[in-house]
Amino acid sequence: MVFTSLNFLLFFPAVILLFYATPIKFRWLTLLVASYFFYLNIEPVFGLLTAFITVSTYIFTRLIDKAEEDSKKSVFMYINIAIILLPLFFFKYFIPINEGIFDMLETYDMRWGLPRISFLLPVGISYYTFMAIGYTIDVYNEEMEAEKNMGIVALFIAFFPLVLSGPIERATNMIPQFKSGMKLDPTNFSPGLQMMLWGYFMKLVVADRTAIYVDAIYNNVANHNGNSILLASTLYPIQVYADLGGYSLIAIGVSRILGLEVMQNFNRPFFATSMAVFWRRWHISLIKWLTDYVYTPLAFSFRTYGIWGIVLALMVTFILSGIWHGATLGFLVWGILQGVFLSVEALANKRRSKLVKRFNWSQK
Amino acid sequence: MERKEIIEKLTQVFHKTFDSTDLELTNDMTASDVDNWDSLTHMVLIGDVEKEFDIKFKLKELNKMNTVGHLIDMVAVKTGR
Repeated sequence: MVFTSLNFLLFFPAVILLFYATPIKFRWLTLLVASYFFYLNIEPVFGLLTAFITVSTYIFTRLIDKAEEDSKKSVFMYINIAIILLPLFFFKYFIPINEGIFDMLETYDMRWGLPRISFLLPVGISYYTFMAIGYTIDVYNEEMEAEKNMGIVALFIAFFPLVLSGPIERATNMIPQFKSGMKLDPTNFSPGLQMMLWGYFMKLVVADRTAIYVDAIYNNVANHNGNSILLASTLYPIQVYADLGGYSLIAIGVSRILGLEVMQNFNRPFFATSMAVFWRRWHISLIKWLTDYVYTPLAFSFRTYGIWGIVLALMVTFILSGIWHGATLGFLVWGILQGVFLSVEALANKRRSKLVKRFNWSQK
Repeated sequence: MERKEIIEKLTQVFHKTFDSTDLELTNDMTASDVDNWDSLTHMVLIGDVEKEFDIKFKLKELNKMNTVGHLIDMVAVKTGR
């Protein structure tokens, strides 16, 4: 079941009713049950993965809190991150890389009779993996204490509005909300439903319709002329924005109705005035995650190299962003390009601000 | 080190890092108050501050510094040894 399925339109009102019927103290439990029902409905085996990540994260965050020395704490943090990343690497990267190797060997007419394994990729794995890692690092950085109730941790990781495609939220934001007792406030219904409606419009009307044309071109590039390819390439960002932006809006709206504040994921990205600004307005939750947990520690380590340390940190961060999206060469090149764009902007920063001052341009 | 001295030296570092000659530091000042001060240049500033005062920050400490006032306090603590 996904947001745009009829099942969800039955599921969600049922959840609201159950939510209302549950005493406030136990509403987190209702949401946990609902979230696992939602996720298992897609494929029962996937629930094993979220449960596995939950148990590991619960244990290691508690160990981090209990440890006395920083060296022990960081060991626990790294172990949990490695454990969580293993399934992600396996499902997302091992299989495509394996296939890539087979394909390459075939171009040299080497056909090995080795088995090609194909597994179902657990939906949402890229999202809740990152959320669990973020939580682990936050506990290590003493941004919050490890949650003692494993059920709350399980809810944080499997929370159904966010589990499929984000926004990638923080434990520091969600766990206190889960624990403070969620109220069904009628003043949330209208904004929440509006966001859902707008999200459905973006996804079903704009994204899915645009996809008809764009997919037709992209799946058959050799047989289309430059005009079509240009048009498809121009429409594609709009399609992606409507797709992910719409879906995120539904997620935020659903959460709002349940009385939960989830972060904004898009902020009129096409009105950005530079690539650096664009990346603060597009897929905000992902970029914030990468900034806080990858870019900042890297830039900090490289700070003795001045602006070139920044460039290196940017390249690593955006290459990671690229391959997070998918295990293809296209995504890798895309990530490199974004790193280059931001590096050029960073290097040209002083010269650009002189121009801005001279001609009085606004740069928000 | 005396707080006044810290502020003087820090002002110099800010001028150099952000290429501005008239910036005056206040305790409540944050990144949004200064042109060019964003996550890209923040680390460069931190590196320059460390070099100027011969101190080293920890990443955890950076996360807790929200204003220039906090930065001055941190520098004071680290140079007070």
